[in-house]
Amino acid sequence: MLDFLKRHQTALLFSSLFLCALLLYSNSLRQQNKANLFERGVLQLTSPFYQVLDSIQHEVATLWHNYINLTQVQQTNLILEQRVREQRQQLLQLREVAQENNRLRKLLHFHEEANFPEIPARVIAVDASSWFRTVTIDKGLNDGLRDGLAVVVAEGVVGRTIKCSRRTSRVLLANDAASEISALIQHNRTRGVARGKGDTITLNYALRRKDVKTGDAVITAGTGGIFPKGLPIGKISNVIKHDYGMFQTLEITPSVDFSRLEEVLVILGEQQ
Amino acid sequence: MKHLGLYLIIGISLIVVQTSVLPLLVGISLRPDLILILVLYIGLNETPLAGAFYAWLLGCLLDVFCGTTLGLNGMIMLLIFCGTYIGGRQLNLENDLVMLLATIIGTICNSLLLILTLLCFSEQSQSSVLILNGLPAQLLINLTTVLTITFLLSVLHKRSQRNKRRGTYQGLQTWH
Repeated sequence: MLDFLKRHQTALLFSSLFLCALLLYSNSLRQQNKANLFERGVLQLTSPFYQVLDSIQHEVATLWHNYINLTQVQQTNLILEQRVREQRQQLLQLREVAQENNRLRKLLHFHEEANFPEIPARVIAVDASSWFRTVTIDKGLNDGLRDGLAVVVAEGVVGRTIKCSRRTSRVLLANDAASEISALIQHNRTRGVARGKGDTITLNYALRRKDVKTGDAVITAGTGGIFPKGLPIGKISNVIKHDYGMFQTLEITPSVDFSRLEEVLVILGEQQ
Repeated sequence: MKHLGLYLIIGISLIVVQTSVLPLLVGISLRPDLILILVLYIGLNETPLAGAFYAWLLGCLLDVFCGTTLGLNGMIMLLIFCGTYIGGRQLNLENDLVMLLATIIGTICNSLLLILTLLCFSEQSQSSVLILNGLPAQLLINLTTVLTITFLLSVLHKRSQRNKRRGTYQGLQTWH
């Protein structure tokens, strides 16, 4: 027996490690949205790096804009160049400020319309793989966030928080395959489940007999307990009716451009 | 222990680069899978048990920043390490092409194992189409990354050898 164990030591140890890995995975499957100690620790450990990288990115962008301006200015008259440079710099800064202002005003407008407390957050990282659709935001448990909160922008639904650490949280985007949102078509109130499909979203379990056209707006139904009612999800871009079955499948073009997320609002919960 | 610390630091750095620096440079949809490349390297260069543990740990680290389930990539990286270790020992590890071959097979196996695991254990069947669609591009970018790293390392190696030779020549002159 001992001889057998010695001879197959590597294989046995590898099998035990694989069994551990499988057990960890199957255990995690039951608690997908909650961050455990390991995840919280790693997220907390890396959050300063993300903060630093985020600020460096802003600095580099500013420097780069300044550098471009400088090289352009060198080709012209010095005095004029000075004025042009200043004006261009101002213009760039103003444009940046205007864009930021626009985004924040939109968020603020959304904030005014909504009846629940929100907290603004910045997107500081995206998902490590190309297959899943999650982002990391710079707010966490310390800011009052918890797992399963709705994340939105002025255009509509972004996703929901999963795995919150003290300073950062991850957001499962609405276009991830693991994301499911209870939804309804705005004009005829047809209910369905909006499920992520990478770049698009599909609306499943919409009754076949309901009249649906491309361009119809899809909004949150407010029945899942996460998203408030009436938030835009997107517009129907394709209607697929199979030869048989009770339901039709509808493809939705999301109202939010998930590749350009910068600032988001996290809805802390419905007002008491 | 030293190796474990080193791989952890490298792994965390690669993940930070992959999630916050590379999206700015190459976009969100097309990024090299740096942790997979690191695991393939470990598979070709480490001892079986330590390597398997490093691979699993790196996969779990990746899971913290990827998808929703802890352990998914951990399990897949462990299997990829095992395959690379067994396959790599049949080849001449001194040859740079082995790493390229490992990258091709590793990327394909990673995608297939991901699809298989998601189909068997979770309800994310829609992911499989997404993963299959993105596989050629992912393969191309992983190969490009490995080629670039191999080229840079060979340039650095040549330069260090040249410096060493120059140092020996100067030493001989001093001796004479």
